[in-house]
Amino acid sequence: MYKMKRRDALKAIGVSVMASGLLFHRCSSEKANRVVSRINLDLKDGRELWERERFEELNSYTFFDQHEKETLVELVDLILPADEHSLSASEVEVPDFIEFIVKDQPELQQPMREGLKWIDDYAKQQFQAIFVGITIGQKTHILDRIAYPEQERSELQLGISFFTLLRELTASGYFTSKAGIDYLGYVGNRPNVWEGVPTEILRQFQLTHLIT
Amino acid sequence: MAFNINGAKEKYDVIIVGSGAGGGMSGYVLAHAGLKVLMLESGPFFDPAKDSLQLRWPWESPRRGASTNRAFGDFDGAFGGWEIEGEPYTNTEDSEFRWFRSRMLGGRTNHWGRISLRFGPKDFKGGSFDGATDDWPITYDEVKPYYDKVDVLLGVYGTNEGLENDPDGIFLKPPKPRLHELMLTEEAKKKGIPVIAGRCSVLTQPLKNNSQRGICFNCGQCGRSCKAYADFSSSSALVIPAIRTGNLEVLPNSLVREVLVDGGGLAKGVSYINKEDMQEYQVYGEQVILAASACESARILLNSKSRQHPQGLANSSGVVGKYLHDSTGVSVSAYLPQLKDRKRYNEDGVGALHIYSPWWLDNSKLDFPRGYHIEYGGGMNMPSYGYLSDLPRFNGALAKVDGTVKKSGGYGRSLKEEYRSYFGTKVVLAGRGLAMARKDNYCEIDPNTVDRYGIPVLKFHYKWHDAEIKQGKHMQDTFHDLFTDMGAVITSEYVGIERNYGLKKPGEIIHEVGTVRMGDDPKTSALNKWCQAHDCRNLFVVDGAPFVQQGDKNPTWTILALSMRTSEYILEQRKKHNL
Repeated sequence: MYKMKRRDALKAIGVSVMASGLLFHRCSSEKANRVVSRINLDLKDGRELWERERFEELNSYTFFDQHEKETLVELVDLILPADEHSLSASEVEVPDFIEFIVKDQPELQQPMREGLKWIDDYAKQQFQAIFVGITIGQKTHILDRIAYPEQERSELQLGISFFTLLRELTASGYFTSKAGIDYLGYVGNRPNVWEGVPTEILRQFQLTHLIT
Repeated sequence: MAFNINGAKEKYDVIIVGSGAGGGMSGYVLAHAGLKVLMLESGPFFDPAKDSLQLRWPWESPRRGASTNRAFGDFDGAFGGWEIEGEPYTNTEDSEFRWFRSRMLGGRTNHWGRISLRFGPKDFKGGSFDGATDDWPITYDEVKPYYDKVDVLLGVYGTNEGLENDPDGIFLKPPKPRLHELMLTEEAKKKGIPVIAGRCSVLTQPLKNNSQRGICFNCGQCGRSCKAYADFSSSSALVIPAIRTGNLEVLPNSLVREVLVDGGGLAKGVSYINKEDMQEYQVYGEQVILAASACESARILLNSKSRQHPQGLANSSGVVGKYLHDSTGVSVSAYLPQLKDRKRYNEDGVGALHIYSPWWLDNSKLDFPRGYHIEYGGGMNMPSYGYLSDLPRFNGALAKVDGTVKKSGGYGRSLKEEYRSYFGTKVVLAGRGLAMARKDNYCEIDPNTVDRYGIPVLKFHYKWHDAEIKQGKHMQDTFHDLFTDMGAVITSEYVGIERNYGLKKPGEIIHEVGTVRMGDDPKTSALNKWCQAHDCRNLFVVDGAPFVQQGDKNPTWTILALSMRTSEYILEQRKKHNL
């Protein structure tokens, strides 16, 4: 019985769309026609006009230059590399996400640009070459010095802050991609029937007594 | 800016300003009774069936759900936020009120938490109970029949518990608790904190005599507003059904400037700016109902100055804008290491509280009046922008729980595996409590600032006092103790008195009410107990503005009950030709 009702609910998603279409055909006064035209003007794909315009604007230019982009690709793949079961960050287009998000949130632009410059300067100082030009061992040597914020190294503060930010953005991009969500094993965002915690899980955590 | 004032020929029975909970309910009742109603909405028309972003995946947003455009994320059901371009507000120097506006059909009900708690007898008569606050001019028993009718009309799940100040209702069956909720329940009960089923307006079962609304299919995304109309949004559950009667028209993108009065000082209509052509228009009705939100309704009244009402409409008492109050709020987050590498299954459930704790303590042993309720969050939620952004700060502490020594931070394969291991282990406790209505917390018209439509804006004066700050300390301490004793790794910094123990800024909980308060005495209140202006008998206010004093309860269910009550009163008084 419960499941049948649920199917009705799902059907209602389609039915409601139709019903709301019919709704406006019925209006005939001049004012109602204005209502119809405004609805169509206002929202497309659930977005307000200004949201759509802003999206176009952000996509109309590129922030990172080619060298910065190459450095980003290397860094995000060091943060979240491929393994036997999953793709690397660059393979799920994390650099493209970072390109978008720094335009979307301009306060990220300066720390990212300065950070990318910092990591080249530091590579040159330590290994006489820019970051993309040094060996993998040299790269991890640098990351080992900036990837653990609790370590007190004030002379590396800029590098540590940059790496913390980049790591957050990389995780954001990766775990919101389809591959990243599959990797995490999230199985929701679809019609479901929630009937409580599965019994074997209740037993595993010794919580069966809480279920009435 | 010069406007042409364009008057309309048609005259409506009733003009309603705003389409959220209060306006939607009023429109629903009056349109079904056969009145010709015009509803003005300051934002676009919004039909969740068509316009909601429910079931979208994070990668369908280029910002992956970040809150750059919309305050609660890119898929959220509220257009607008605390800051809207071209629609500023100001604060005095030591005030930091934040005003959330959602300009769209249905207003903030499209994204709200659906927490539908009745006010209890002590919430209406708090003054008589402990003297800490003012009494309402009405009692719980007077409002109860309307709460009952709202329960039946719109649907709310919960359990009857027989609690004195958290009244029972007519409930649908509640969703079962999730795993982390059971763990938190067990720990809370050890501490004497009661935990009961949530009370939220989501249809877990079919609604009687209503074929328009579907039932919940457990996607957990009520915040986006439900395409199946299974949650209560004013747009889908009230306004759109009211339009179907043929008696209610909606004018979207129409921002009301003021209420117009006739020579005798009675309301005759409103003037509004059509946001598309930036022209000012007038529409006329026999009654005017404001439901624009507590602060917006106060703004309209204060901007409605006339020879007959020189201090603004309904404001001979001077109380319009005064007694502004928003719920208190404190949140504490943590990881539950015992949930590491948990088995995956779909626990999206209902997008509203599965469990909560009503206020439980005896105030005679506490240093603040009344209290707060606790909301429980967490679980294997759909990842979004900011996914476990604090994990690299806490993975050292989390490893320590297992007995291993490890530095926080890192990169590479091991970090990637940690992001997976700790999926679904984050939990949050949030308190929402009593804030006191005070005359010196208020909004007024800022004489120096107008919005992009040329309408004078609000200036806020709001400070937390001792009662709220001590309550905030109690919340923070309670949540830290609960988490600590169950071995959680707390990620929220313990905040000291210098930042009010973590109390959110006023306005951030988005429960602001009280700005056009009701009362029996026209010298100290703007409205009578029917939400009718003392100074103007055909003007009503049906949003959160008439509240005398909130409790720790979210205001929406009370807004709905009072709006229904006022709408029935209007029908009665029209019949008697009293308006």
